[in-house]
Amino acid sequence: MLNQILLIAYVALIVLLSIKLRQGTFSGFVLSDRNIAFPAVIGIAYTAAYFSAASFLGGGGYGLVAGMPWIVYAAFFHVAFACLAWLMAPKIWAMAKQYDAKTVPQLLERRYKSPTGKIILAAIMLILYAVYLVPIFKGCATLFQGLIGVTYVQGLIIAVMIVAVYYAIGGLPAIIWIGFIQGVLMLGGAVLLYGGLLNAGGGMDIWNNIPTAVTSMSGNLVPWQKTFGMAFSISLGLLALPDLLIMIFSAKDQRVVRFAGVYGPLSIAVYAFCIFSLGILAYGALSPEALAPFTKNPDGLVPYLATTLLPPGFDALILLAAISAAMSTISAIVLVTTTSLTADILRFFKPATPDDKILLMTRLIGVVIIAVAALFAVNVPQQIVPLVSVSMGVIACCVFVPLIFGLYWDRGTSTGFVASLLASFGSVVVWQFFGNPLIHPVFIGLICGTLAYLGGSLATGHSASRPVAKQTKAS
Amino acid sequence: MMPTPYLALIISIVVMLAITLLITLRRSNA
Repeated sequence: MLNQILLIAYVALIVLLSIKLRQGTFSGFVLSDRNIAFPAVIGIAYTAAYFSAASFLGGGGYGLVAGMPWIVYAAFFHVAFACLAWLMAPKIWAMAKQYDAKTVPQLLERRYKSPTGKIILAAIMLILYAVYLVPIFKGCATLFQGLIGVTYVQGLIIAVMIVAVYYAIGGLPAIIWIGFIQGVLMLGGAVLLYGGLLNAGGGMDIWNNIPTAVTSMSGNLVPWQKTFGMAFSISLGLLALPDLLIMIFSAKDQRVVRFAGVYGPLSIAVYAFCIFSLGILAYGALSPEALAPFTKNPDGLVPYLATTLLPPGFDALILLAAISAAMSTISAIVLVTTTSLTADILRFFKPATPDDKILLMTRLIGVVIIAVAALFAVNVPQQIVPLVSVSMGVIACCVFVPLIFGLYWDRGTSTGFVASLLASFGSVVVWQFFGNPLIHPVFIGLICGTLAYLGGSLATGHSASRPVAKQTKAS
Repeated sequence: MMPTPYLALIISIVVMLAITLLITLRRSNA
């Protein structure tokens, strides 16, 4: 009964906030009119949008099989890339404002004067983000099953309804403000789980009970190279995922972005450290018999910890935190996926379409994408983490190379941009099927994308495009 | 006893966050 009340209060808050933040213009819906003035809100919403149910469940349990390399590499790369991302954020914000970009493909199109590049990137985002949504919906529905005892399909329907309402009414402002609240819940849940586990294992004595195979840096049941690649490619998203970049675009001024850069990395650090440690610490607090089922299904560890280690009532809070993790990611992704179709692709073919028509389509198509992704989630493969790591890794690769060079190098051209997109995407796909599984495809994508970008840009020289943005040296 | 890699991780996280904070403060004072 308590769980139902908690969920109703949570949904009521979301609905009220979306109505309060409802948007009537395209710019308000996709960009919040660049008026968000609270650094903590942007910083924490960014963290909430980045971490999904896969991080809460898969990331929490993965340490069980991967051992120490998982927590060390995953937490290190997450914090390092979050710090780098936020140190670059003021420059990204200035570039987006200067080009009046409302979406990430549009920003790169204007930077490189390349409509072709925009369409290719938008198409890549459309396909891969849609794939990425499916496992998150799956995680979310499973969590609703645990929280209020509904069936899996009913859980999916509840998830679809909640996300669709706040997406379609409030757009980006609702996604950011609700994301902020969800982020606070997620951080609370992560600290609670970490504290609960440490407490159950007898404080620092917990380390004495963990087998050396688990604490060894050569990896427990998974080779360390694989864990290293996975940690790197997942974290790379922090630097270049369009659903996170739009949060930077929405800030009121550069000062807001700068200070969001304190809250962003700090919340990433607390969350990543607590959640990714769980799989290893579990060895010190639970018996091998209790852990045995979870080495086959690591995603089940966090819900199990919540129900066995925490006082009654707190388990519902953890499940709600995990649901929040899923929903904050879904909503931000749906927005960028939909705008890549409406504002980038459809508008390219019909440039005269007025903003209010694009806004209506963005609302409707977004809801359709939510429903279709949920429909696919009715029957998807078991393991969440590897699926997520490939699709988001490809998008991150494709955006990372042209974005970073576009910010810090004057000589990039439209040809270089298009070549890097094709090379990143193609090489990752080819490597995924034919390459050495110990080397993560994202490494290959990054190398091929960078080489193609440099080759294409240098071959076409200065003739194609020069940035208009002021290229002041970063201090 | 906390394993060395875990301790190293905690120290490196604190250092990275501290550097980010320092750069942010320096930029906003500039």
